[in-house]
This record gives sequence, C-alpha cells and structure tokens, in this order.
Amino acid sequence: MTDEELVREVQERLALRQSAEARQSLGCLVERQYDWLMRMCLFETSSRELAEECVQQIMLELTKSIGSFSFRSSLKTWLFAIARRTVKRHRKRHYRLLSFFEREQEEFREECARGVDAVFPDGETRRLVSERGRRVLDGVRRLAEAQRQAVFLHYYEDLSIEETARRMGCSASSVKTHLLRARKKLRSWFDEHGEGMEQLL
Amino acid sequence: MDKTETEKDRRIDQLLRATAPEVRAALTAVSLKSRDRVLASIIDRVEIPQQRRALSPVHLRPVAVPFALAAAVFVLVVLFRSEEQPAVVKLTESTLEQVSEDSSLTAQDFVEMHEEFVADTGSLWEESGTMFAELEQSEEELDPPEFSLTAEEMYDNQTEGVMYGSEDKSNA
Repeated sequence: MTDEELVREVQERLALRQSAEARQSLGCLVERQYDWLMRMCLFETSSRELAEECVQQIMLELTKSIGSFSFRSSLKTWLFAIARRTVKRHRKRHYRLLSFFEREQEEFREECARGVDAVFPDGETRRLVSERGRRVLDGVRRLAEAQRQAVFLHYYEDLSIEETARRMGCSASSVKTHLLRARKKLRSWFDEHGEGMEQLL
Repeated sequence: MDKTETEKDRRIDQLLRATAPEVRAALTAVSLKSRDRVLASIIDRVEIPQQRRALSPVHLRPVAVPFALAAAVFVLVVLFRSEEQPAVVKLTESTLEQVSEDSSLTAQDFVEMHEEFVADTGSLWEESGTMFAELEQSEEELDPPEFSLTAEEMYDNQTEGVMYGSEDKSNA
C-alpha cells in the first residue's frame, strides 16, 4: 500500500467516524514517515532533542490536517514542506531561549557548526562515521538552506534528481543548480580549511 | 565550466557519494534509538480530527430561526405596501390612451362613458339656466336703486373730469 492509499484509507475511516480504525491507520502512516523525517531533522538541527521535538510537531500537524489533504502533491512533498518550516521555527525559538537563559548563543552555534559530533552525541554512533565522512558533513552543514537540503536528499537519502525535485517542490534543473553550487562551495571550503580534496579522496 | 573545473566537481561528487552511506547509517542509528519512545508519545498525543457532520434539524435551528423571522418581516412589509392607496393620476389624453391600451376597455366603452358625461353636464346646464332665470325675475321685482345725485350734479362731475383731463394733458 502506498502512502497516498494509506492517506485515503485514513480519510475514509474518518468520514465513517471509525475513530479506532482511523487511529490505527494514522499510526501506521506516522511510523512509515518517521525514519526519513527524523534523519532530516537530525541533520538540520544537529540536536537529538530538538529533532525529536520537531518530528512530534510535524506528526501532530499531519494528524490534524490529514482530513483536508487534497493530493495536489505527494504526501512526502507535503511533509517535507512542513518539516522545513517546523525546523526553522524550532531553531529560532531554541536560539532565542538560549540567548535569554544562558547567553551562550554563539557557543551553541559553534557547537552546531562542529557538525558530526553534535549530530551524533554518543561515541557509539560517532564511530559509524569515518574522519573523512565527518569533514564532508561539516562542510555540507555550512551550505545555504536549499543547497544543504538538495545534498541531503540526493546524496544522503539516495534520491534521484527528479525525486529530489518532487520532494522539494521545485524543478529538476533547480535541483541541479543547487547541487552544482553546493559542490563548488564545498570545494572552496575544503581548500580554505587546508583539507584539500587530494587528502580526502 | 572548463575541464579542470569539471574534474574537481566530479571528485566532490564522488566524495559525497562515498561518505553518504556512513552518514546515513549514523543518522538512522540515532533516530532508531529514540524511535519507539517518540512514536509512542506521538500516538498518545494524536487527536483524531472530527469530520464535519451532516446538518440535522437540531443543528439548523440556530440558523433557521433568524432567517424565518427575517422572511416573515419581509412578507409583512410587502403585503402592507401593496395595500396602500394608489397615487392620484392626472387624467390626460395620453394617460387615457395608456389606460385604454392597458385595460380591457374598448372604444365603445369610452363612447358610452362620454355620452353619460354629456348627459350629466346637460342636465346641470339646464338646472343652472333655470336658476339664472329665477335670479333675473327676482331682480326685476326689486325696487330701482335710489341715486342721491341730481342730473345736474352728475353733469358737473362729468365735465370736471373732462376739464381735469384736458388740464393734465396741457400740463404734460
């Protein structure tokens, strides 16, 4: 059963006021979407707690609005747009809170920019990523939002250019441009930080 | 983009592809650790949205009552307005023609109406004629008016008037 078929099932059950069955289908849908959404939120926020909060928020929005989902785009495109918005909002709020309570905003930003260590807080998961992978991830996380998300979907989520475009809600040529610019920036970043590609490759 | 640029771009692409699986695996590992806990909290917090029910008469009542009142007031206003006296129409030839066109009256009806009118006015005329005759008769029966001036005085008055008139003319 595809995601869209599952959404239709939820909508039908809601229309028939079968709350228990609708809840069951909704639970199935949430479970299916959890992994990629959590990966995206982790990648974007660099904090497990913040990522969990974001995923919860996204899922609640999904359950609230699923009755009115009109299939103008795919479910994943819709969720991606919600996720992007939610992550942005949570990041802003988190920074504000941090600056208000701890006055350590800059420190937090630096921690976020450390990249892989912030994303993978414990040693066990950190060991899964090689030194080379860490450096690349560091560079990727410094890219502009659209470029970063294109890289995440195309390389880390292993989607084709067309699928990435569909998920981001833009054209394939836009995705190609984002990726090209991202690679160019990464190259200059590696050169600036004395980590030439020759060393990395 | 020249050859060296293309080559560099290709190498970055390779680097990203080479490191992607391990980053993905690490991200998945982190997400799996909190998966059950987060999913359970989401499922707990899920509120099944209530679909909008079909409107029953009970639901319609708050809407229907004001509408029914407004409709009743409107009907009453229309009825009262229709019972008002029509405005006085000044009958002219054109309105008569209009009336003859609009109504079911025929030319023959108008001729008959006209004859009735003439007959009515004729009888009125006859009545007024007899009234005048009676008045003349009563005047004759009255005594002639008494004049205080004699014929000479009247002549003098007349000649004075002529003289003053000639004086005025000579002055002018």
